[in-house]
Amino acid sequence: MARFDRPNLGLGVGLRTVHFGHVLDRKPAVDWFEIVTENFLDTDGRPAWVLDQVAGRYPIVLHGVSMSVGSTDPIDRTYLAKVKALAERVRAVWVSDHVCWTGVAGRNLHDLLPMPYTEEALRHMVRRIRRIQDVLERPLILENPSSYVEFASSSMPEWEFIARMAEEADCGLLLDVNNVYVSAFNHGFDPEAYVRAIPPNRVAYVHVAGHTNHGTHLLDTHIGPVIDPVWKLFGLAQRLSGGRSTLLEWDEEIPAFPVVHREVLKARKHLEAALASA
Amino acid sequence: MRAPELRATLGWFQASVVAPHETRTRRLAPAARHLRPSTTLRPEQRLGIYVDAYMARLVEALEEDFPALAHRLGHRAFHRLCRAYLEGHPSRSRSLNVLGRKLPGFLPGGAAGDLARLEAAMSEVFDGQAVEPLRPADFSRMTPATLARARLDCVPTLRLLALDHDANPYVDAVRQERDAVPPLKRKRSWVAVYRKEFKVCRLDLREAGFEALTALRRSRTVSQAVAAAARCWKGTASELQKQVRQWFGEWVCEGFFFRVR
Repeated sequence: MARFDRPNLGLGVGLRTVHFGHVLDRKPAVDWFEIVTENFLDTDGRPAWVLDQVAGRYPIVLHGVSMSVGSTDPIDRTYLAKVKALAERVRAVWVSDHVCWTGVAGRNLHDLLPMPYTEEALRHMVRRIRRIQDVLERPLILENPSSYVEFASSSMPEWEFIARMAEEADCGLLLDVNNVYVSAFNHGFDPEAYVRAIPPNRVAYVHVAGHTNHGTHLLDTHIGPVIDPVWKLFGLAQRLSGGRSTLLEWDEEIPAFPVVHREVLKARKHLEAALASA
Repeated sequence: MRAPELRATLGWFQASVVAPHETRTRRLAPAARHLRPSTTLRPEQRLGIYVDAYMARLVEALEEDFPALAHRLGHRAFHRLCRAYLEGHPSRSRSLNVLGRKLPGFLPGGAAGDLARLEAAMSEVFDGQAVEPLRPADFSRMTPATLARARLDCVPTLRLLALDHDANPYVDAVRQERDAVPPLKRKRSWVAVYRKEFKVCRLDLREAGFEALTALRRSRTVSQAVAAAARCWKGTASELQKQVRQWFGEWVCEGFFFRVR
């Protein structure tokens, strides 16, 4: 799968507003940054200016939260045109979003809402991904979601849905191992079996993050450090894929940049161990 | 119709997430018909995670844009306001940045309305189109007569507000997290909201200055703008002339204009 066999970007961090000053002034030795696409689409203010400075120094990946690939509303071509223009402006390595929907009937709930895993939904997703890729004129990279419900109508497990979706739509995957862990806890499946079922040649990059344990369920809050079981899944994903770019997300109670950077650097030892045992 | 079952499922899920936050009643299928239980949570409890997250996320976004309004109303009242606002103005944008743009118009006015107008203007200015403003040197070669006939185009990131309350010091105190927040007095006030080197700034204006700037924004000439200022000026003509010169210098330094016509 040559389309996703890009050079490994290394260890990256999600670019957040609170770190703008540090990143511009200190120019930390981060390998790459991922940005939340929508935060930079309709602004001509400081975020846009900061992004241009950062993109001049670091590789950038666009990570969207509103493409709503699974929605039954018409595809929003105006939005896609803006995404495409932004990707070109910052020479984005990849454009990614989620296996989810964010609203129907013109509404946006601003959440990554779960799909029913049915044959009908799969055909729908595949059709839309192909159209979106045509508009963007580049492969779309889609992330496995974290979820808190399972639809009664689902006829296949999430990993099968995603694997078939990627093959049939010819898109890439962003494997979020924290999301796998969160959903595995919430739905009671084996997270390692999930990771093993994802076609490794489709994986463009890997997400790691922290989450919150509410006892009855886990919430994907992107808070705090990555826990050991998630690093273990990370190692497995990296071993199976042969080593992919890694990105740490930290979105709540965000600490100083060096703390976030140190957290993603922990990936190095897990990566080396994983690749040594491959 | 393509994917009819999917359409129905997503429609039900969305309606079930927003319905608990809305006043109108809807007959929706129970969660157990569409969702499986987990070992720890019933279907309606699992759905409830999305229900709670929906309003929490949108209220948080509005509170980020309207901290002074939230401070004024208090947490519960602000939350109630957000629920009512979102029922009539659900997000239809890909971005949360514009979620509160219609909030000032939703409020009946009063002190809360003035705070909302001021804070909404700040959000608009933050994201507004960047243009290179004119500098004092750009005006140095203009004769007074040429300047009087000129029309000055204001930068897109300038907002002019006439308020019924002294909202600016209140917004200042809340946003700077000062211990003492001044009372929100009923008093006519005029504020320019603008962006300088990507920082959103506010400048208190006098009524005459506000009228002059408003005239310039309406493509009036500088002399017409001065005449507009004069209509509400309480002092002498020479005092106004001196004041206008001072204001004009300040406005140019702050980057209010980007083109002379």
